[in-house]
Amino acid sequence: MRYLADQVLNGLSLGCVYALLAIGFAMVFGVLKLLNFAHSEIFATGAFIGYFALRWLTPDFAGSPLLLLLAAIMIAGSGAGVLAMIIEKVAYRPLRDYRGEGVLLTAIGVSIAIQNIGIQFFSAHARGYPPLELPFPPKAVAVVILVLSFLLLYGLIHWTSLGLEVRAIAEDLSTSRLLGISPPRLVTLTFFVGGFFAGVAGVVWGIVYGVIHLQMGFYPGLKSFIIAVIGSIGDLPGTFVAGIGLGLLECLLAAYLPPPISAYRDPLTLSLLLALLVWKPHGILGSSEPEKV
Amino acid sequence: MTIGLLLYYVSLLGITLLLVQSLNLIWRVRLFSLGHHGFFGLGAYVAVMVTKILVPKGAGQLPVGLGQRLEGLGVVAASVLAGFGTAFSVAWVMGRFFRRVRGDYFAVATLIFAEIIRGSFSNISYVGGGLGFEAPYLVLSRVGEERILYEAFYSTALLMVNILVFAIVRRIDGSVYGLYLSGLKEDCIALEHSGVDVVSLQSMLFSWCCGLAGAAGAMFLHFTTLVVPGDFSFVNGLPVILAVAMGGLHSSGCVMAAAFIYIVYEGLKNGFFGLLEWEYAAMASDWKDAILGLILVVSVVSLALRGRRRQVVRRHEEGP
Repeated sequence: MRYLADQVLNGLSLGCVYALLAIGFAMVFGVLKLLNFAHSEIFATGAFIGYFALRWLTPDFAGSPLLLLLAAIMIAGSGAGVLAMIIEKVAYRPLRDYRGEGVLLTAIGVSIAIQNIGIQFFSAHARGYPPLELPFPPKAVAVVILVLSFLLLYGLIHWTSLGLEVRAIAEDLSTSRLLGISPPRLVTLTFFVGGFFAGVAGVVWGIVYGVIHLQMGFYPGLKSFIIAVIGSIGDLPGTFVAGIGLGLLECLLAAYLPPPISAYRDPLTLSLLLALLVWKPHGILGSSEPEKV
Repeated sequence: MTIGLLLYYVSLLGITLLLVQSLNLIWRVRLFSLGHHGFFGLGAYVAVMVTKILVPKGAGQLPVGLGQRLEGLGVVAASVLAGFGTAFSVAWVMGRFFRRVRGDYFAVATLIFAEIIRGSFSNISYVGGGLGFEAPYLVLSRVGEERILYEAFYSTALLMVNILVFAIVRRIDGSVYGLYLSGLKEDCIALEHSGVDVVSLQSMLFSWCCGLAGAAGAMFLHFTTLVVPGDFSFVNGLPVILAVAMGGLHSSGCVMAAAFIYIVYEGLKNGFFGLLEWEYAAMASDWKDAILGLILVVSVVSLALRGRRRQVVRRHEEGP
């Protein structure tokens, strides 16, 4: 029973990371219809900023690990958010009116460039995350942080005028312009918010798994995009539930399948996600609206 | 650079060109596949299985005598056919199932498929698992004097296959199917309304092109004699994507872009074929992927900006 509880906690913490990443994907995709491939690298960058923040701040926050963690999360989130804003300004904004595959190609190029430039400066080797003497198990702290982040994001999107404007441009860009909403400002803000929460997810990944490296974002990023689709793009609770579901499934598969089969954890979960993507491209809860011509 | 090394690079360029030509056709039918390297890997691993079945365990590593070499040639041909057939069949099934997903979703679906292939073969010990598989030399070997012949054999074979594929594509372009391809690019809905079964056309071309990638994978195995799962990663497939993106949706443009990208990429990897000093060569090799990514961003952004500038100039010329 204890083993099962541990696996459930593992699954919850992993699922929360997926969900938070997926929400970032969904926000950008909902507003710009752009698959921000570089989101995975923003997540990894956030984990690295958190790593350095924890190392530098540890002497100043000795004796208060929760405050230290909070400070690291804020710094990492802000850094990752600013990186996302820079990417949007430099690489995506010139392509705003451009239709076709070029935008996705740019996103792939940005992702590869950031990852490899980072490797030149910080090396491709994995780094151990600074240990924190937290009063609770790190996975439980991670779940609490991620649930609070989700609630904050939900509140921001659904209960503020800013969130209303973001939802308006996601719904209909042209009408929003007519109503006096400034899409460029909101798009930048969307990237910042998505990047911020990717950075938070990066720090949480570090404290839960204890190891980070610059290529760590590829698989979580790929899975998170599918989660965003399955959870219906734009539906935050749907995305959150889909993320947690995948995290739980992955951990339980790894724990209970016999060893030769559990080695196929990633191909198995990817196959499942692929099947869901093909079966329900409008999301599990989404309606299959006819495409507008 | 020695002749042997030059022919080695020509053979690798031949494999890259096969992938580029086939991916180019897929993109031309508005199927934005990012998982072409998955079919390449599938073909290579099917070739591994065929080789393991047809070449008895413990057989000599070097082919001797005409009979043995002809037998080896048969195994290579069977591997290439099996690689083609498997990739073709899988792509045909995928084409049927993936009807519902388009655009970015299709791109992600194919990318996931490629990762499933790589992840699965990384764990199958029969094909070497994560350590990869070392194939025996079947027709010729790289030992001693025979090396030049070996490189010449594969480079010539690959060059001929590429010329054949190029000629077929040009012929398709000049036929009624070429008009369909243009129609698909310009206005998919109008083409559908004119009675063309767009989905069948797309899935048939997708299957043939993925089959070609599978055949390229089988040739890659027998040419390099070593495959590891990392050979079929997304990053390793990036030069092909970049070449197709830069070459535009023209058969000749993409071939030239592929040659250019290949020379730049391999040049960065190998210190521009020995021209750079050691320390600069190491630096170029380290930065090659970052440079590739930046080329991709700069080329797409500059193309988009140029297009926008043209629009502004046209509007200015037309007046209010």
